[in-house]
Formats: sequence, C-alpha cells, structure tokens
Amino acid sequence: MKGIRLEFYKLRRRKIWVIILVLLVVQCLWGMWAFRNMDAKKLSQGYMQCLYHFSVLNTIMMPMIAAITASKVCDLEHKGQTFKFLLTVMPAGALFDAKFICASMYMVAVGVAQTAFIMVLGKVAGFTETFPPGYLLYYLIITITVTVVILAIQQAFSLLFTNQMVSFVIGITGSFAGLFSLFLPRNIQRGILWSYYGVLMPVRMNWDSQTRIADLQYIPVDWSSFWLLMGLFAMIYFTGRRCFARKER
Amino acid sequence: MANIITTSGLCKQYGAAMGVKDLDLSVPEGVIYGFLGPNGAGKSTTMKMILGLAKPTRGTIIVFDKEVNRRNRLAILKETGSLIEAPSFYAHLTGKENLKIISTLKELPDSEIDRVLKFVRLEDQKNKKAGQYSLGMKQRLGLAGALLGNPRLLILDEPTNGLDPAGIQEIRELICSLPKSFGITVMVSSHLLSEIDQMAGHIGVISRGELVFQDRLSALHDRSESRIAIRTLDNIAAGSVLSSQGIAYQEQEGYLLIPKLNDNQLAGYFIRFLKEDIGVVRIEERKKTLEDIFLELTGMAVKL
Amino acid sequence: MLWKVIRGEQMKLRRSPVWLAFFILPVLPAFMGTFNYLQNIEILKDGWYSLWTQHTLFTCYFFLPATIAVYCSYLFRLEHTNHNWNCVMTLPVSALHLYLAKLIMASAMVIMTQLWVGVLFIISGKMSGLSGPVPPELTEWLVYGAIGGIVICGIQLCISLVVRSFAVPVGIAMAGGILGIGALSKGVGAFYPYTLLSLGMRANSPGGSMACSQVQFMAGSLFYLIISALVAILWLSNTDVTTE
Repeated sequence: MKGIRLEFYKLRRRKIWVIILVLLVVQCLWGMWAFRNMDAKKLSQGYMQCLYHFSVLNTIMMPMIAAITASKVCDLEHKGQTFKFLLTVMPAGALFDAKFICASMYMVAVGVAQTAFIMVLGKVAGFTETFPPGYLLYYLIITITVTVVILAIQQAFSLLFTNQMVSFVIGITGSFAGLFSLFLPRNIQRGILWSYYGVLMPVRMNWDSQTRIADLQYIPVDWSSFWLLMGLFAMIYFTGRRCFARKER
Repeated sequence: MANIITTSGLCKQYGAAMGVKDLDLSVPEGVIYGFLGPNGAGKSTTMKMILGLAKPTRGTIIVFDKEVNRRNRLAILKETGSLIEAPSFYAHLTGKENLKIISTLKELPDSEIDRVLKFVRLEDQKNKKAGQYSLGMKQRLGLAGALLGNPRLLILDEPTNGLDPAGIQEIRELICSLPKSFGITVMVSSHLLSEIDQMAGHIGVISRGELVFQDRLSALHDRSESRIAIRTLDNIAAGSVLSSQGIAYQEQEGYLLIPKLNDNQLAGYFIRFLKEDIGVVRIEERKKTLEDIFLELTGMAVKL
Repeated sequence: MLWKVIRGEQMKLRRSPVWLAFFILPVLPAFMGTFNYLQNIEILKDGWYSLWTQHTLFTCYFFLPATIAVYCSYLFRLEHTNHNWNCVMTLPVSALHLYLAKLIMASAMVIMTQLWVGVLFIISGKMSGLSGPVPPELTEWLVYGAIGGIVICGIQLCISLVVRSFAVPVGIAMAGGILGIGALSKGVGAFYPYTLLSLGMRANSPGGSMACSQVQFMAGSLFYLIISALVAILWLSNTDVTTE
C-alpha cells in the first residue's frame, strides 16, 4: 500500500494525466464525429452503436494509452538510475506490483470516463434505445480488463528494457495487429491479446451484402474468451514480474 | 600577459534569485586558473555561460578576444575542450566509440583517440561499453573527450569527482602538466581549496554568485600572515603594557593576539612583563591556514 | 561539415537495432491486409489498387506516424540522457546542422520503410496471383509517401527536442494522426502535417489523383519542414542547456 502511494508521489509534476486526457478527448471527438448525423434507425440503436464503435476505437487507442502510461511510470527509474537504490529498500516484486496498480488506476479512470461519456452522449443526442445498464457495465469491465492486461505486458517491457523504444514498438505492433484482426476470423482474434476489445464486444454487426444494410444486435457475453484472457493475464503478469525480479543490475 | 577569458558584469538570474552576480573574471593565458567556491556558489553556471550553454542575463564574456555570442560560438568552441557537471557519454557505445564521435565532429585524426586514451589511462577499458564504466572511469572518459585535439582552452568542472585518491593525484598531475607541455590554459573548478592549492597559479573565489577574491595564488598565501598569541597570568595588565607601547592587540579565549614582531621587539615586551610581575605562561606563533582564509572570504560575502 | 555530423549520428546508432521496428511494422499489414483482401475478393474488385488500400490504410493513419514518433524520441533520448547535451552543445556543430543530421537520419529510415512497403506490396500481389502489371503509380505513391513521412519526422523531432519525455511525443503523434482523419474528410489534408503521409500514399483512393493539388502538397510539406526546423534551431540556440 505504501509502495502504491509512493508511486503516485513519484509521478508528481510529471503531468501524466495530461497526455492521457488529450488522447481520451481525441478518442471521444472521433466517436462524436462518427455519430455526427444520426438517423432515426441509428438513434434507436444508439447505445449499441456507441459500444460497437468505441470498442473499435479502443483497439487503436487504448494500447497506446497503456504503453504511454507504463513507459512514463517506469522510465523515470531508468532516467534517474534509481533501481539500484530502490531494490535495496523494497523487493523487486513489490515494486512491480506497486507500479502496476498505480498505472492501472489511470486505466480504470479512462474506462470510467469513456463509459460516462457514452451515457452523456446518449442523453444529449437523444438515443431512443432504452438505456442498457448491464451492457454498459459489461463494457466498462471488459475495457478496463483488456487494457490492464495490455498494461501488464507494456510494463514488463518498459521495466526490462532501458530503451523505451522496445516497449513502444511492441505496443504499436500489437495495436496494429489487434485492429487488423477485427477483420479476421474469430479464432485468429482469440490468439491476439490486442484484439480482445473486439472479441469481448457485446455487440455484433450483421452485414447484409444483398441489402447493403448493417444491423447491430446484442450478443451473449463470451465468458470462455474472458477466462482465456484472464489466463493470459496471469501468464504475462507473473512472467514479467519474475523476469524483472531476476534481472541483474 | 593577455587574458584568454574576460567576463565583465556577468549576471545570471534564476527566477527572482541571482545565481551569478556582477562577475568580473580574468583568466590569463597559459595558466591554471582555479575557480573556487562552496557547492551551489555559481561555479557551474559561470562555466556554462563561458561555454555558451547558458545565456547570461546581463554582462559580456570575451574568450580568445571574441565575444561569446551566437555568431562566434562555433569559432570559440573549436578551440575549447570542456567537462561540465558530470561526464557525457552514450551508454550503449564503447569508450573508444564515444571518443570517435567527438573526434569526427572536431575533425581530428584517429591517432588522437589513442593518445588521449593513454593519457587518462583508459586504454585497457576502451572496448567496454561506457554504460558499464565506474564513475571514475566515466570521469576519465569525459576528461579524454575534453582533451581531444589539444584545445587552447580547457574548462573543467570538478574534474576529480568520483575518482579514488590515487586517481585524484594522477589527474591532478596530468592537469598540472598541460600548460607547460601543450600551452593549454586550464580553468578548473573545485570546492576544495587544498585541491586548487596544489594545481592552480591563479585563483578566483566565488561565494553566493559573487567574486570575493581573484589574484595569483601567492597573493592569497601572503594573506596568511602569522600572529603571536600570548597567555599571561594577568591579561588585563599585560594588555595595558602593550597599548601603552602602541601595539594593537585582540583578546581571544584567554590569549592576547598581537601582530608578528621581530624577535628583539618581542623579547623587549617580555622583559617588561616580568618587571611588572606579570607571569607569562604561553607564547605561540599562530598561522592562518588557507582554509581559514577561504572560509573568511566566503563568509565575507555573506555579510555584504 | 554536415556530412561529419551525419557520420556522428550514424555512430550513435550503432549496436541499437532500432531499424528492426521499421522492418517489422510493414510486414504486419502485408500479411493481414493480403489475407483480408483474399477473404473479400468478391467485394474488392480493383486488383492491385484494392490490395494497396488494404496494405496502407491503417498504416499511414496512425501506425507509421506513431512509429516515426518513437524513432524521433529515441534520436533525442540519446542526448537527453547521461548529460549529453553538455557535450553536444560544446562541440563545434551548429544548431542547424545538428537538427538536419537528425532529420536526415530519420528521413533515411522513412525512405527505407517506403521501399520495403513497395517490395512487400509487389511480393504479396504476385503471391495472391493478381493478374495485370504492377500499377505504374506505385513509385509515385511511395515517393509522395516518403515526403509526407519526412514532414512528420520534422515535426516529431521538434516535439521530442522540446518535450523531454519519450512517451508524450508518441501520444501527440497518435492524436495528430487521428485528428488527421477529420482534416482529410474536410478536404484540408494538405494543410495539416499528419495527413500528408496518407495523402501522398493515396491510401484511400489509389486509382485517382491526390485529394489536393501537387502544389498544395509540396507547399504544405515545405511549410511544416521549415517551421519545425526554425523552432528547433531557435530552441537550441536560445534556451539554456539543462541535463538530468
């Protein structure tokens, strides 16, 4: 607990939330732009539209936000060469946990802000679809969960490599692969961590190639994929933590 | 003797505080100029301004008869070597590769790299990555980089930082040899008087951003005049004897301090003391150390 | 003299395989884009042109700008760490040359990446059994794409010089790329630095001409290159050097 407080303390004056906020605003602008002229049909599926589009946008943006946050939290130690000192006062594993929880808080905040934005948008734009609290909650949970898993992998690389280019290239490549895999069969998607925003999305688009009309509908929650993701998380987190603890300095 | 560095009215303001105030330095050519002052007195800031790394708030700096400004910057830097604050290095490159970059940019032959590596005794470590160097080795690497191409002027900021005692001695001797062997003018800063005492011919003392002393080192030594301390059984009576003879004295911790007099004069006073039945119990010669003077000088600025 | 500074920059990049990033990045769309193209071959009827869209659409909107940003951050990170500014700024190298050398290093990487994109495009087209010759416009797409990429290099170098963080400039590039979609849809792509790349590469309309005139494209590119160079030089010569 003390470790987590210390992590926040170290981030003072680093203004980490500014860049996160900027990216979040850009994402919301993008979302609004996608909904700029909604007809009656779109309004009747308003929340579905939001959940669908935001999941796609998340695939592009959230890995970057996670990469930036992880790098910011870890890079200050590389820059100040503080590992040698820190690891004499706290175990490496505890430092890893503290940094992870600290950075996760930002991810939770982003998820909550997004969900709140969807709710406000729904009121302002006058969605005629009945408000689906359950699906929004689910959206909030999967957005945070997937981002936090990506955060774990980002943090591991940001800590293990002094050169932050490594973790960013992994972040960009991952986000890229995630976006592309949205167009690929589901089984391929499930093998790519960064495409889980799409895999776990609670909405499906039915594209009728005859009528050229896209229709959205809610689908049941894919719990098996969720547990698969949890398994991935455990694997990534503990491998990363172990590698960090074992690294010689 | 021509000056190689002259600053006049040099000021540097940080926020509301003056980091450096009205500094008039003059560094003659071909000497080792010791730039002395406590931590945070403004030594690094001054050196950075001379090198163009920081812009003065007011005042001018002349190096090699050229004013330090954007137009003359490159011409001055071509003939200058420097090591400021802490050594610079690219951690993923070897010591030799680090020097290769500098020598390429200064358009020097590769033989220079081997020469300076040998000079700072780093030739055995030259193929190791600079990131794995110890602090002392990094310092030597920084020094080697500054020495590349035998510049006319060398500006070194606390060059013995992080070195072990043997290393300090070695680097000191190395610096001392530069003016004679290569005609290099060296400006070297330190917060230790003893270190400057062993290297410099000229010194400048800075305290809280102000210059409090600047001259040959010998002039500072001259200030360390001796005094005679006398302790008697009756200091008041002894004092009145001295003042009746027109000798100024100071009383301090049971001692009377008087200026150094010649032996005959001094003996005369003791005979008078005995005649007046004043028992003399101690006579000592007290010499102010350079450290005392340094503290006094830097303390003086506090009072101003 | 500039050549010497470039040599110095090359030496600084030894032993750091940063080019790998630019090698891997285009491979991803080449694989996945081609796969997607083959899956939807009934809808995508324009052969080589459809494949080009698949390869480049997402790449030049966000991912290439972000990767360029990472590279530019790295180039200045070298100087921001280990007190290197003290050394760099006391060497007889002018601010202009320093900035240009970094820009040339980054530009070289962009040009190589464009070549690699071209090679991958031809290979995947041939392997997908596309009939007909390789589009003659390919060279043009790549050259204009390279120019757009170099503009992003200029801007990002400037940002990475001023903002000393590694991560923040990457975030700015990402945000810049996304806002560019808006600029493109409003038809002002030529006036916005992050869209010049996708404009130049004709990512969404490979068949037709650019969405702006060549003069506009060149003027926009030149404008942003000059502005970023000016800002960088003024910054380098007017701010005090601080090291951490």
